[in-house]
Parts: sequence; C-alpha cells; structure tokens
Amino acid sequence: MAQEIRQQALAAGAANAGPRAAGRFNSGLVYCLVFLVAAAACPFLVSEFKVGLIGLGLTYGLFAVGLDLAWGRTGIVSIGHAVFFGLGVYGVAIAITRHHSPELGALIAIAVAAVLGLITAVVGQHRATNPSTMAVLTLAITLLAEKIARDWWSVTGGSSGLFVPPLADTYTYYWFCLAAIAIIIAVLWFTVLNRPLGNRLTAIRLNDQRAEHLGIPIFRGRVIAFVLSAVVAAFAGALSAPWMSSVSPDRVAIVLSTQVLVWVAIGGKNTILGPMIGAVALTYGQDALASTLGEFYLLILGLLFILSVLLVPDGIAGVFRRGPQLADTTPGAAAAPGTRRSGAEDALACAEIVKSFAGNKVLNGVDLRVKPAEIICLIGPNGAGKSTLLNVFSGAITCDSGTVTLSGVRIEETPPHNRVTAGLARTFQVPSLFPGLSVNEHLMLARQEAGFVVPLPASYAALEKEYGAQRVETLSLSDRRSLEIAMALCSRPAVLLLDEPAAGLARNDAGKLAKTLRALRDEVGCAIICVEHDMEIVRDLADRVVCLHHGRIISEGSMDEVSADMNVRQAYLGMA
Amino acid sequence: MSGSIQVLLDFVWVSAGLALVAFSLGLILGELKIVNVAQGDLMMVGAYCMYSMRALPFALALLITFIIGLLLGLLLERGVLRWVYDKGFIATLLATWGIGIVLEQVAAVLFTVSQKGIDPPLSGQIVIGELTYPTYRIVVICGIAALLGALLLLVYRTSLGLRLRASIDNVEMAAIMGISPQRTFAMVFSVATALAVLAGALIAPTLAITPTLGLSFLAPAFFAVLVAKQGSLAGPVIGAVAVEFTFTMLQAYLNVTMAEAILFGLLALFIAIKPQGISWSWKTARRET
Repeated sequence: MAQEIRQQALAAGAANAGPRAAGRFNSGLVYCLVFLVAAAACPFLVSEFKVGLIGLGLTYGLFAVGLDLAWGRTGIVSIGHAVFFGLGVYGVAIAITRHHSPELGALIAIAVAAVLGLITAVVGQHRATNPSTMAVLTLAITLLAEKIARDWWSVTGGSSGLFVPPLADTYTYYWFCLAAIAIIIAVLWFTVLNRPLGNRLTAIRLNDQRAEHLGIPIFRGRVIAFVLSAVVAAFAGALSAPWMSSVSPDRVAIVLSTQVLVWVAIGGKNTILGPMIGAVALTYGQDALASTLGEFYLLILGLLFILSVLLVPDGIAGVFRRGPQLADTTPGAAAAPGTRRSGAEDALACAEIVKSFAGNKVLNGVDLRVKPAEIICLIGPNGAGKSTLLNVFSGAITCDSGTVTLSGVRIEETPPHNRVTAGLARTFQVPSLFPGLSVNEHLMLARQEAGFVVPLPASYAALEKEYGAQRVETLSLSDRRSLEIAMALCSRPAVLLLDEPAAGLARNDAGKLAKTLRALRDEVGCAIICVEHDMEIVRDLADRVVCLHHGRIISEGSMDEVSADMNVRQAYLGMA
Repeated sequence: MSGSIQVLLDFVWVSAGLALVAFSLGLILGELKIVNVAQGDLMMVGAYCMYSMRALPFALALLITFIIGLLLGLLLERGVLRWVYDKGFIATLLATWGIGIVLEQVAAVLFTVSQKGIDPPLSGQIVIGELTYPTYRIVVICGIAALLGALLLLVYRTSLGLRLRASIDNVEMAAIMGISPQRTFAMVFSVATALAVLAGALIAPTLAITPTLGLSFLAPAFFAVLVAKQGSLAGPVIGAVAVEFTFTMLQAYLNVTMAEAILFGLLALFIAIKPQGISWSWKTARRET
C-alpha cells in the first residue's frame, strides 16, 4: 500500500518536474520574502515579551538552518549540534561579563566552533570510519561541553550560568537580528546553496559513490559542509545571547541538540523556510503551551519526531516542495575543450597489479596496456578478478602493489575524484544514479563537474531530449545504463570503464549495445575497457579480448584466438 | 594500599556496568546495523522500574524488570524500528533518538524530573584488610561477570550463537540458510534491550535516578563499541574495560571533567588512527600477519 502511494508520488513528481522547474526559484524567493515581511512586522502586532520570544525563535531558526546544511543537504547527522550554538552564546556572554566587546566574543566563539567542527568532521567523516562514529563523536562533545560549562566555574559561572543584562531596546535589536539572519541566509544562498558547491553537497547525500566517480571530492565536501554548519550555528548562538536573561549550561546541552533536530525534522529538511518556521513555531508553542501541557509538550514533540522520521522524512516543507533539487550550474559554451590528447603511447596501462582481500590474492600480477581509442573486453569466469581490476583502475579500491598509468601519468595513489578529472570515467554493474533527480539534473551535475559542455553522441542526446525531465526511477534499466554512460561522456574521458553494460538487458537492447558503443568510440575517441559475460557482444565489440583467471591474464587477442586458447577453455570448462 | 584496592574495585564496578551496556549496544549494532542512541534511556527505564517496585523483594523486582525489558524491546522493534530498516542509517539513528526522547519524557511525566533513589537490597560492607566495600556492589560485579561469561559462551560455543554470528556476518546469506532475519532482529533487539534495562536496574541503587540519567553512559558505551571491530561481540566488553581503565588512570591525576575531556580526545584520536577499531580476535590477528 505504502509502496503503491510512493510509486504514484514518484510518477506525479516526474510529471510535475518539467513545468514547475522554471518557477521554483521565484516561488521559493516569494515565500522567503513573505516570511521576512511577516517577521519584520511582528513588533507592531504583538507584545514586547512576545517579540523577545520570536526574536529568540528566529535565532534558533538560523541554528536549525545551520544544522540543515550538514543534515538536510549533505546527509551528515549531528546529534550534538548545540555545542556549536552554545559556543556562540557563551562567547558573547563571557565577553559581556568581562566588559569586552560582544563582537570580539562572537568572533572568537565562531573561530573555536570552526576548529572544533573541522576536527569532528575530519575524524568522523574519514572514508574508512563507521558511519556510527559521527553520531558518537557529536554526542560526546555535547555531553562534554555541558560538563565543562557546569564545572569551569570561573569562566562560565557553573550551573547558575552567566547573567546577561537586559536589552536597552528590544525592537532595535529585534530588527538588527532579523537583518543579520537575512544577510547570513542570503550569503549562504549565493555562495553555497545556489552554486556548484550546493549541488555537490546534494550529490554526496544522494549517492556518494556516484558523486565521487563524477569527480566530486566527497571527504572534502562533507568536511566543508560540517564546518559551515558549525559556523552558522555558532553565529546563531552569538545572536541569541542577548535574548536570554541568563546563559546556563542548557545552551550547549543535549536537550537543545535534540530540540534542533526536532525543529528541522518537523519543519522540513533541505529547505530554508522549513527549519526556520519549525524553530519559530515550536519555540513559540513551547512557551504558549508550557503552562497547560508541561512535560507533555516535549513528549508530544518526541512522538511527532518519530512519526516524521517514519512517515514524512522531508517534514512539512517537504510536502510542499516541488521541482528540481539542484541549482542550474550548466557551464557556458565557451569552455568546451578539444579531444584529450597526450603524447603517451597508451591511454591506460597497468603493471604487476596485486590486490588481496584478507589473504586471498584476487589480482596476482596483472599487466595490461590499452592504446588510445582501443576497445578491450575483459572476460573470465566468476571470481577471476575482473571487477576488482576495474575498481583498481577507477580508484574505488587501491592495489597493494603495482602501477596504474593514465595517459602517461601515474595514478595508483590518486583518489577517485581526481582520476575523473584526469580523464577516467566509469559505470557500475548496477547503474549508480541519484535517486529523485531527473535525467537533466544528472547531466547537469556531470557537466558542472567537467566544467564544460560537450555534445553527446546521437543515441545519448536522444535520451536527454526524450526523458530529460523524468526522474531516473521511472527509466528502464537500459535507459538508466545509457544515462550513466552519458554522464561519463560529459567529462570527455580518455578511458571509459564499463562494468557489464549488457547485464540484465533485453535481448534486442543488448544486440544494439555493441554497435552503439563502437559508434561512441569512433565519435568521442576514448578507449573503452569493458567487463562482459555475453560472448556475442564481446565478439561484436572488442578490438582485443583479455581473459582473466585467478587474478592473472591467461590469454589475450581476438575473440577467435582467445576462444581457441586451451588455457581459456580449461578455465571456463575445466577441460584438460 | 587500601587506597589502591579501593580504586581497583571502583574500576571493576564501573567496568562491569559499562560492559553490560556496551555488549548490548554491540549486539544491536552488529546484528541490526543500528546505532541505538536510546540505549542509555533503556537503562533509565530499568532504574525507574526498580524505583516503582521498591516495595517488592529486590530479586522479584529485578525479574519483572527484565521481562518488561524483553517486552519493551519487542514492542520498539516491531512497532518502530522495522519500518526504518530500509530507509538507511540516518533514519534508524533518528528513530532511536526519537524513542530516547519519548522514553525520557514519559519518565518526566510519570515521575517528574526531581531525583529519586532506592536503597540497595544488601546494605552490608565487606571488609578487605583495612578497606570496607559495599557488599551489593561486589555481588553485582560477580553477577554481571557471570552473566557476560554465560552470554559469550552462548555466542561462541552454541549452535544458537553460531546462527547469530552467521546472521551478523551476512544477513542475506544466513537468511538463505534458514535463519529468519525478522525473527533474529526481533529476538536480538529484545534481548539487548532487556540487558540494558537490567544494567540500569542493577546500578539503580547507586544512582540519582532522573529521566536523563542514561545519557552519561551512552558516550562511553559507544566508544567501548567503536574501539572494537564492528560485529565482534566480545570486543565491546574488552572495549568497556579499556575505556574505564583509561578513565580511571586519568582521574588519578585530573578532575573528572578534565579526565573526561582527555578521554574523549584520546578516543577520537584512536578512531582517527584506527577507524575500523581493533580486532580483538587472536585468531584473525594471527592470520593477517
């Protein structure tokens, strides 16, 4: 039942994506302006006490927007984000109590938050780290920060906290706050969210493997997102300090960390207004309903939080959200490059590649040289090491020893995203795409990362034209494979790696594949290394067939030569 | 001399409680691949159960609490968690976080946030040389050690344990061989919940019982799990001892907050250097060399 509804929603989304795409930026802007005007008008409509409450809510809103940069955009969850907010609060409060300027306190606090965020992200987002580590680290720092705030009496005032003198003029500070928040969000929008960086963060969230093999540095992207998120949270904390009569350890504590998660979850991730309105409404509601509901208020919020995780993962704003998720960052036509040419004799070469998993040698001394624009088909029985070799080329795994050379440059130590820039592109056995994005958005991301727009071969251009506005979930398998190849071609690769491009295709699609790929090679001029099981396709496609067995190349040559080779027959059939 | 024995006994006492929680966390992380951030709150549930049943004989209350833990685990797994397994890591993390909030708030509504306490069932002191130590703690230490020993034997020496480890290692393959993932998930979560609840119940007489008491156990327990290789069930137990040992050592020279700050710093550094944790298994270690 739920599945069915989702399918329908997907289909509806696909149908809607086209016409609304153009209007989305404007409608979003209109909503934001309406919110801004409404917020600016508040002092004329409600009592001074309520203005203070809404002012606090707005700074909480900025805090929530900050968390959303990490969680909603990039998919890094922090369950201790109050520590960054609390740094800002304490920075200002300590500066005021010691008669320094609050701006100085805020700046120092933001700098500390940036450093702490950087350390947390570097440790927690490392490629080999368990995903649970980030949760544990953020939890640990917020618990620790609360303890420090309680115990470091001389600086933080301990449990009773620091006293912040009341504002001389509530209204002036309210408008100042509002203006500061609007400026920060505008800056975020024009430097991150509506720019290639924002698209990269979204790509990392949706499919980090694909993002990396499009040339996006995923580790760096995550670290940047988390540090930004920490800085925005600290800034929000600094702005909020004057709204509090006393600054107590609660401001860095786990309860506030939890609340901000609730605001973002219920308001709506991955939007600006969602977290903002979530924070303002729930802060206001907490005050208004505290006398009647008491502890029940937080209990209800907790239940709503669970329900939103289970049923509406995109929150309330997500229900209204339509259209594309990415900013249009298609590069101008000016930057189109010529064909990749280098003096090197080989497009790709490897020597003495060895790779073992837990003592089991999967690749055991592989030497291969691929000439420019040559099509190589890798064959071999299951477990021969074909996919592993492809992964060693693309950088998805690093080899234990041996060398890989791309157009004369050694790349065996190069991270995958840099190999893409150097002219290596790949597809996966199961097409690896960004769920929820349209065909156009996929190609735009690929072009954004390439930095130029090159014309696609006819059959791939037809795909873009015909299905451009459709979400990838609605495409057939063969179209999804074609889209992956089209994305790979956007970077104008010198070498294209294909992992079983015909697997699971219908007979007539598979039959056309060899012809399409040869035409592609002729037009683009890239070398192709293709793992394939279907021998008819191999015969039609390959310039040279390479047979792998037990991690070694046992035979290479034309299809006829290889199929006549006794070693190959023995490997496949066990014949003597 | 008696001072150092005191430190040693305290170290064993805190290690025992943490080891039980870390074992249950490791069990959930290994089998369900879920980071259960509600584990501390499950301890809190155990403590409040004992508080509500303080009129009953201690052993009976403990038994009822354990059964409540089993049922609560079953309810949470069937009612909430199974809907988020296919929604990815973050969704499961947030779902357990939400469960934690709800448990805390239910406790706050039922018992208010003011501190509660219960008396240990054994009030005597054991005399060791010049030192006296609460009998209750000694009994609990022995009890937890026996329980963990039995659990580890169950995991590593019985066919049920073998099925569990197979399922942890590769849930699809285990399913093909007739080990139902649904049943294993429900059973594991239920047992792990009951163990955390039991841990909370056992240390309740030494705690100030508040709705947020579990949070302070959560971070150390997770670090205990993270220093071991994921999926290992003995690892978190050894990890708990290692974490508490480091903490005890640091506390000998520093105040609690500083010691904790440095402990977290050291653990973060450890994770940065060994992101996969240490493999405690002697056999695997030998094969790799």
